[in-house]
Amino acid sequence: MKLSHILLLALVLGVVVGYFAEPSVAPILQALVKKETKPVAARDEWDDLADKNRPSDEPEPEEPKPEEPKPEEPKPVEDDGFVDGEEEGEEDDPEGTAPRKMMRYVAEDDGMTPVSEEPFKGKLTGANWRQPAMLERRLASQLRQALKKIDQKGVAEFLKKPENRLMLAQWELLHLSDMDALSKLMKDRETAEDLALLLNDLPWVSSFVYDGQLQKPEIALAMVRHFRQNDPNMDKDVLHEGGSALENVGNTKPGLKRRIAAAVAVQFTRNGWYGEGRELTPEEIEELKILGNMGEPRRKGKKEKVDFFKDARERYQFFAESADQELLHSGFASLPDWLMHIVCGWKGNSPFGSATTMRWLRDNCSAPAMNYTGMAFQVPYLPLNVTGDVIFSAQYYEPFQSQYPGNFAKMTRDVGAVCGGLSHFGTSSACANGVPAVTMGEPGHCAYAVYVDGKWHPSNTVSEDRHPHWSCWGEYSWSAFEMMTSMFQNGARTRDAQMVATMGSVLAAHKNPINALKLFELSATMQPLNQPIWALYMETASKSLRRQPRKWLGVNEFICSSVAPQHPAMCATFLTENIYPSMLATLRAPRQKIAAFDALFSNFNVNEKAEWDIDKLLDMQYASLGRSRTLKKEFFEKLFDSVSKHPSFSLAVAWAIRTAYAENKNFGKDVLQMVEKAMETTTDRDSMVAGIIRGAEAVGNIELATQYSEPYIKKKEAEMKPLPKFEPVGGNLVSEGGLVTLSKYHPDFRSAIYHGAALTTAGGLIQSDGGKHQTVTLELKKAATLGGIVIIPTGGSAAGYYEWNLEVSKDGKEWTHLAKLPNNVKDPCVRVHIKKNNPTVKFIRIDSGEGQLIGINFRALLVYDNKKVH
Amino acid sequence: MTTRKFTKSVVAGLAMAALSLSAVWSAQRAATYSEALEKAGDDGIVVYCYGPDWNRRSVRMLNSFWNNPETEAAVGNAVMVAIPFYENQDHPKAAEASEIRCGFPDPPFGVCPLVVMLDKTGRAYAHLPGTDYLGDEEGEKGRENMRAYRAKFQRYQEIMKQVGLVEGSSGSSGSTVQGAERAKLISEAMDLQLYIPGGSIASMPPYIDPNLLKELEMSDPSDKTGLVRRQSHVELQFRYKLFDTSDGFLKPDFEADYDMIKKECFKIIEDPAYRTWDRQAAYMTFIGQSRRESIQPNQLKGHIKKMGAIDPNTVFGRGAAALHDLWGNYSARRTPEQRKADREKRKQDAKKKKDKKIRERRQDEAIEF
Repeated sequence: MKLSHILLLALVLGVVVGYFAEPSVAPILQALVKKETKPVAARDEWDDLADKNRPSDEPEPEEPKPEEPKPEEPKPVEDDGFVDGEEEGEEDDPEGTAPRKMMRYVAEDDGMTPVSEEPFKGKLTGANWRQPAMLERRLASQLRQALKKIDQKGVAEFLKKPENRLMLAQWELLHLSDMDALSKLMKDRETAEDLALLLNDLPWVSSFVYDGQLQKPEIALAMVRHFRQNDPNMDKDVLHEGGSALENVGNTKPGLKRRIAAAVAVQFTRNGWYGEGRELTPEEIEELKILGNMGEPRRKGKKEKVDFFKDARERYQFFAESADQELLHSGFASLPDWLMHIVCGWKGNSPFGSATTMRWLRDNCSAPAMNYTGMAFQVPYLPLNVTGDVIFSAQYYEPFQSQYPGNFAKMTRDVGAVCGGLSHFGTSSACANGVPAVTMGEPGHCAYAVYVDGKWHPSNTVSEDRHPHWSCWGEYSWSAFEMMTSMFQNGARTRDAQMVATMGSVLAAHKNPINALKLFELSATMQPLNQPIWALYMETASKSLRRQPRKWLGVNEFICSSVAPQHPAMCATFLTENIYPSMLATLRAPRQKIAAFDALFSNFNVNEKAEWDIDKLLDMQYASLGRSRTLKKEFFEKLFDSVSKHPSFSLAVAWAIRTAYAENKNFGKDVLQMVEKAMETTTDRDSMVAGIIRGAEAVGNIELATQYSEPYIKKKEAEMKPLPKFEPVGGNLVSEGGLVTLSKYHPDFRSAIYHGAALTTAGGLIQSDGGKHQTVTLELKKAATLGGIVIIPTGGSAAGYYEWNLEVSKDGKEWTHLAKLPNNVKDPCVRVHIKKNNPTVKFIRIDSGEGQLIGINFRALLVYDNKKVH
Repeated sequence: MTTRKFTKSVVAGLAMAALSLSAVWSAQRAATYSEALEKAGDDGIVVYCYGPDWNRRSVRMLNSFWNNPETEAAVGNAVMVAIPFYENQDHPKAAEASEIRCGFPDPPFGVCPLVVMLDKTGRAYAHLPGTDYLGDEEGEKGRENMRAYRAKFQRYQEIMKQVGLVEGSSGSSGSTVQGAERAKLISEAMDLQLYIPGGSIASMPPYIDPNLLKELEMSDPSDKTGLVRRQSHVELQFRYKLFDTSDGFLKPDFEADYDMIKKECFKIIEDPAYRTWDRQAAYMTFIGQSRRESIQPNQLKGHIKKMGAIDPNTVFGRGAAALHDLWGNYSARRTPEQRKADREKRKQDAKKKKDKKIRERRQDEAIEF
């Protein structure tokens, strides 16, 4: 390294270190840096790069014209050492990232009229497709020529032309493809000509590319070609002459069998369901990529045949023949393509997805769509079969398999199953009849949901913590599933947004990142519910918007206002994962941050339970505020104001109490006062009190929990029937005034207000969530020598109790087994009388163990000492 | 030649006319379910459920099956009524359909096409859903099943008359037979497996009619005929008791008692009073446990063979040969030394669990529930 380089490096390091380290020098350095960076901000390296690489045939993007007044700058914060105001490198907002501008796309269309996918045929030939790499370049060049202006009007004009839309879908397909494999597939002239027919069909290719997370397009196309070779009638219209015999059934979209082929191929390829229900070896995967003898069973050695597309072909044939003969539910033919993907892409690797099973279900379990939510309950719930084999063993179905060759559903119905079998039966019966349904994971359980009248209806469910087993963007939470549903329900807009993003990718691939970013932003704003596009936009933007806090604020506000009202969980997740990491690093004024955070809570609209990781979000927000208590109080004030208006998010109160008390007791008291103040205006005081109690329980603050629980003891006593009578088990009641903590709280967090009452003879409620080893821990006010414990379950009897463990501890760390609760007691209470070796303890814990997955539910948990009562 | 041909045609024509006339005479059609209830005689009612706005197959079967004269012949003198079940309640014809339906309950699980066979009071004695029971769209299998169920139903009614259990009679006092004879008849009626609540969707286990069981117990209080234990045996309860579970989930420390299982199962297996299905199920329980105990392969094969021979036509009987190959060989794959080691290990595990239980019991002695 030369001396000059070392000196330069030292200078830069000095500037940087000085900028952050020494408060007295910092303002001067900052001013210097601002001065230096201002010209760069007006025209940064991305613009330069864009100019350098802009092809001669590409039109100049319009000069930015600020249309919206600049938002008022927040006042600088003096007490935290940061300087607010104009940020380094900040530029105007010329292209409309300001939320109001962004919202116009969403609310008013503003020239971006969604274009529905009308039939249109392209002119590419098989010969064109035989040279895919060249075709990709040609399409990109034509697309860049066709896009005259990169503003919303220009893009709207561009999208109105079906030839542009077709080119976009074709380019996207090529972009996703393995070019070598695609070339090999298209090498066969007949194949190329045949596929060209489909790839010129705009509605088909656009659905193929955009509706089901297309992966490995070359293999999916090989599958489609294989289906066509086996079904020469694929292109014939499905409906018989004279139309359907059904009364007043909606119009069927043309080309139904082509759509089925696309859905099966995309889903089977995406999930790797090749071959005969087994994992392929690496060599076979290579073979599959080469696709030399595509469509023909490959001979391996002399004996073994690998028919890669057998399962997919049978699935296609099942739906094609069922549609041909009109054996499916009347709604199938008019399903939008994304739902067609769910139906036809039903588990290709499961015995519930075999053609024999699906035929039987189609012919014997055909019902109105809503009835599929109950179809699972045809199957008897039998964990232990007739040979004494448990459901989790391989032997459970063995004695019956020869009786039900290939028909797993019928065998399940006759032999039995547990939650997984029931839910798969329900889902499979719906899909086999053309009704969309998905299985879902819940803690220790499998449930399912059926799509009827534009909504997913959960069934066989035990928890609200659901994870559907289908996603089009790899995110499997229920919130993501609902948001994806909303997104696809606005199909035309979504498709436009997807195509705009493709155009962005075209430009990005041709080294025009600035214009690509503009298109990604436009796409994201057109359809704010499209998470992958947002992620793409954020990934690209994080490089160029580093020094543009107002842009970040605009993005944050836009996301909050357009996503949070209906999909708060997804909005919060997106903010924590995609926006905050970049935005918080960019914003230097804490009050700007507080305003940005408030944008989320103030936009909550649905009064649904907070089923997402609210703690993670709040931790991230809180940590970014630094150490200033004044700022933290401002943050809490805004937070509680929002919570008071949306009490279903009162878990935020629990977090606040826990965080503030853990930091400092006095600070905790201050925060508590702020909660009290917010409670004066709320419509649901109970929820906020539940938040306080949950917070107190989390930090082990008995006094606080007792203080807020006390009023509810009398309330519960007045509301509920008295507890059932029971034989005394000891002396004085010592549980009253204790502190309850649960390993996992029931989603209905409001029940925390009755925890205190549950420790008294008034009775209250303690509810844990489901799952193995759930615990309820009681910390007594002071240590006591136990005489007995009485547990009074909800529902009037202890019939649902399964040998739970009762443990005791002096310090809450070392636990001693006291007793195993009796199984299935029919009495209205479980009574534990300790006759000798009475332990002196402060903590009592009930562990649900390995047994049932249902949560722990008590009306009362009463602990008595062993003193004589006179 | 021509005259002979002519005579043949006339005879054939007359035969066809007679057939179609008999069909017309044998069944009546009703426009609504309430009309069917009014018209119904001893042969009861047969209802065809279809989905006009969602299930095309059931709509097609209206013509190909339901309105086929052969179907009329198959239902005897029962009153036939077709009831449309609309999915879309706003459909212009949904209100009309509701009048036709007139209180007729939803099909089990909403499944169509479906034939429901009911007695004259409107109580369903058989459900015939989907291709399993109705066959293809021509419905020949459906007609066969309808004839079979009609015959069963007629026999059931005869028995009910004999044992004094028809509507308005006073139970055993109105019975023409008493004691063991009455018990036999009631048991026969129970074996017909009619009036299964929720429809005859699943084939296992046999359904026990609690009212008939009560009458059976009254006719044979000391179970001299063996029919009370035959009809009151609930296979699931029996099995769960052997495995010490109330819900089918084995306890974590459960250790099967092979001798007890063998003893209890053979009580059922060797008692011809029980249904063959129940005897085979008990045998299957024993076989399953024997497999887990790694008994000699030949012994296991022998048991499977004997189990199948009890009734080759049940689900167990039909599967015996396959199970013989599967589990017989599974067991054979273990060498005698391996099987001995299996048994030793099981014994040691059982001892460990027993010791643990004793320790816990000692600890629990201080506790009273």
